[in-house]
Amino acid sequence: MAAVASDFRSAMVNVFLPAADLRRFCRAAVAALPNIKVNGAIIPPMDLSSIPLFAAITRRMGWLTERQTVLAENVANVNTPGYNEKDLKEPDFRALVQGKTSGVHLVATRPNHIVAKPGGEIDGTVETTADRTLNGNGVSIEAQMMKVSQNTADYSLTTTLYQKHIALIKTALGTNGSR
Amino acid sequence: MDFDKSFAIAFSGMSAQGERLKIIAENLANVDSTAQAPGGEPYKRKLITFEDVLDRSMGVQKVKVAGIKTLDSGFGKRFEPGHPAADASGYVTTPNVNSITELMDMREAQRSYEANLNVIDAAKAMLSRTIDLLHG
Repeated sequence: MAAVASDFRSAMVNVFLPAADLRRFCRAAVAALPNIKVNGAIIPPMDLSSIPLFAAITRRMGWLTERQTVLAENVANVNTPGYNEKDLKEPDFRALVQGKTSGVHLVATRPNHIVAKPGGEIDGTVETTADRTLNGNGVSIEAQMMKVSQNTADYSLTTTLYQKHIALIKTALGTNGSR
Repeated sequence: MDFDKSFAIAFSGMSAQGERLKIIAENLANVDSTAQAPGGEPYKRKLITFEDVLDRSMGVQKVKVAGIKTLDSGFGKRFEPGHPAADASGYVTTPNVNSITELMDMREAQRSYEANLNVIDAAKAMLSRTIDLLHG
């Protein structure tokens, strides 16, 4: 089982570039495009991540992934004495969609500067107050299962939303969804 | 990929519960294992404990077996004069294993194992939704 798991894990790592690498790659690809000039004015290429909705969807997916990790920790430690269940704080996704959050970030100007990762704004974990058993464990397995399935449904909703909006843009481009 | 972490944690939980099931099986199998001579000790019930452990490479809290301890008290006595381990008054000391407790423990281990499997299923579903994005 463990061998299968590690094989699967390494296959996954090989197949998927980390999100940050992918984003960097996209930026580079966009930057490499020739400038389009209309009446002397340079028209910038389209960058999906500059659209607030897409930025919010990306953040939401990152947050849901992180939450899945926290929930997995809770479930794995369901019989550990003294362990209390944890959950992630929910950032204000509404403000994110409306593009209201400030775009101020720390910038690294020297190689030894420490920069927060893109997902670094995810708020810390919150220990929830559940009834504790005699051995001091506070994990409620039913609540965790509910949260896991809700998390999966939310993720599904988010990816569907992403697909729908891509389809919307394609419709606007007149390609009718085909490539 | 951060789902890696979810998978790794759930696998650590599954192997811990598997270890627990092994101990329960040992206890159940030895429910009648007595000493072979008068004054000897019968099988002692084993108890497994877990602890959370920080995986520094991933920054997550996995679970591991903290230790397996043997319990020295709560032995039973049975009147069986012909038994090789019977004392002068004909009593045999029996193991401190209660099969009902063990069965309940076993059911709990099974449920916890299933819960970890559910987490893997959920993470897998999320991962495949992400892959589906490629299909446009």
